[in-house]
Amino acid sequence: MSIKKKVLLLGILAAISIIFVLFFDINFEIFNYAIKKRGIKASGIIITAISIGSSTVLFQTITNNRIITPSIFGLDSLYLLIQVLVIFLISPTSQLVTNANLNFVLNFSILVIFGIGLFKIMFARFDGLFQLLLSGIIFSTLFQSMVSVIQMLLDPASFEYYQSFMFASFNNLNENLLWILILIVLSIFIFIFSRHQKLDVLALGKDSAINLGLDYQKEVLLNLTLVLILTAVSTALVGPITFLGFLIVNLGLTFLNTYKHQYLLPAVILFGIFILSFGHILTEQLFGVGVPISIVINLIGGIYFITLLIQENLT
Amino acid sequence: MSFSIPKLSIIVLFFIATIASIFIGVGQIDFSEIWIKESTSQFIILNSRLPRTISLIIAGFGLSIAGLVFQQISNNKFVSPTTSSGISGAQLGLAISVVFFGNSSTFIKMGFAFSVSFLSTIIFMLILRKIKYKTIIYVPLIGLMLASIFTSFSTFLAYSYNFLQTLNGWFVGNLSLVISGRYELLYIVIPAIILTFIYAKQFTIIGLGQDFSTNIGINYNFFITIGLILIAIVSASTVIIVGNLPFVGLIIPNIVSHLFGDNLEKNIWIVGIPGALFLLIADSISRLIIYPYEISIGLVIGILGTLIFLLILFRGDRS
Repeated sequence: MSIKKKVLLLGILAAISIIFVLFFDINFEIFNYAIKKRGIKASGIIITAISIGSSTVLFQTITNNRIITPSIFGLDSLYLLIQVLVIFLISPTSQLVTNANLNFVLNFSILVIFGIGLFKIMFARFDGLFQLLLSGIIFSTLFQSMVSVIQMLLDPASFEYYQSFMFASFNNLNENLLWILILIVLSIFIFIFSRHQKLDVLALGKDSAINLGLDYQKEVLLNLTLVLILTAVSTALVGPITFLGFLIVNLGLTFLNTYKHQYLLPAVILFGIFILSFGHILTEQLFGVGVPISIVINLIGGIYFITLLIQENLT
Repeated sequence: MSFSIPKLSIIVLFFIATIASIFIGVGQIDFSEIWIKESTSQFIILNSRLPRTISLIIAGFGLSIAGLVFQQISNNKFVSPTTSSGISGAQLGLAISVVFFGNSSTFIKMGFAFSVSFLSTIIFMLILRKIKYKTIIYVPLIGLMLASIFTSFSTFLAYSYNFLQTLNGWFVGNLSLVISGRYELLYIVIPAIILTFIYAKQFTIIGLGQDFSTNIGINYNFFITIGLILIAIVSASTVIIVGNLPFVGLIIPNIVSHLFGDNLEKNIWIVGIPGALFLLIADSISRLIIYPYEISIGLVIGILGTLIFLLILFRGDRS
């Protein structure tokens, strides 16, 4: 099978899975209402798949590593810290928590400001990714220790609210917001895709990229900013799904067996749509609403991570 | 053993901090009463203050020595029980023991925490050996990814059995519950530390790689296993008794090798002291900052550790 056919096949699979999300076991008596609700979920899935898929591919290309995901450098734990702080300091029923739009804007802006600030400080002083990643790890640990202390102080009722933010879900999305986000995410994706040849060069590593005439520093900073915005979108919208990016990029790589971004980017996103839809149907329709989708994805992704690392020689 | 000025001042500071730690607290201690049998002051010291100070010292020693050994055998300065799966493995073990054995004895919890922590560190080392391209930063990143796998397993368990908040609460570094009768399990760290002292030279050598150590007659796998057992014992026992204390195993060994060089055999006896000193200071802050209440030592360490780390990062850039 040629690569193009493989991508096409993935496209068909993704389309079928979205149709499943829209129509599987739908109640025809309230069809109009139900289809609207499910349309919102389907667009949430698509936005998440595009942003996590492309940000992970970009991040791994910049860092020349096929294992790590961008959320590891502090964004996931910062998101949880914001949520737990708002619930603890203001109230679990404050507009900042219950209003999906406000909550998104709050989280998105803090995540982006934190990320840009970190880039600015680290790139002004150092010339490598190394210190950036290192300080990301450190801040991640700091945020986690703050989260664990504050969440211990929450009363059980407030903790229930906080717990709903710990796990990604597509059930509390706001329609108006989604339209804007789809536009933003799609245009960023088109921008990234239009530069796929530069990304191929970047993937060769720092020395080769500079040899081939790429403005390495500028390229890294630009792509990191895109990674930051996309990760912030998906985290602020649905919450943390740490292993999704890892899972879909490696599925894409194994399936296509190519590093060309022209094919890799769409394939990874289509895998993302497929897995999220599948996971969504599985958790919502079969398990009942008992288990959050991100737990299932983290379990599967985590097991895949360990087996892949132990079996093969990666990177 | 030569006593340079930095070494000597660390030791002096350590003794001052130890004494201060015993006498900081809400309960009034009357110095004249200390030696009187069954007086209130003696009771407070024996049952609350001393256990607390001893656990801080043991945990500080254990975590920084475990960090140093871990960094030595994995040949990476940024590896520590927190930036690998050691701590989260212990947490998963604890979650498993709670789900399947209910409110069992500390001993069973410890057993589970130790086993899973040990297993997870073995997985980490296996992965390290498989990866050919070991840039210094990717090793801790992979460690963190691995840690989040174990965390997601324990989250899954806790979520299904509805004790997520309780589980997370256990892992918060907290010494307010450390009183006599509840902390003695920590003593298990002491033989592990002694074992490290004995094998310090071997750990230095296996840091140079499997081929080299086999060449000069050191059993590589045997000493790696000893090292991993030590790391797992320290991770598991500190997580169960005092909770998660991040940064100690990461920062202290780095400061020590910055000050005194990389020779493990020379440093191993000194590395524990700044570790304990760091914990004693952090604990005193946590007890004094909102006196007469106290905040979690985990939070104090998190903030102090971040500051120190960034300081090292930026200072290292200048020189």
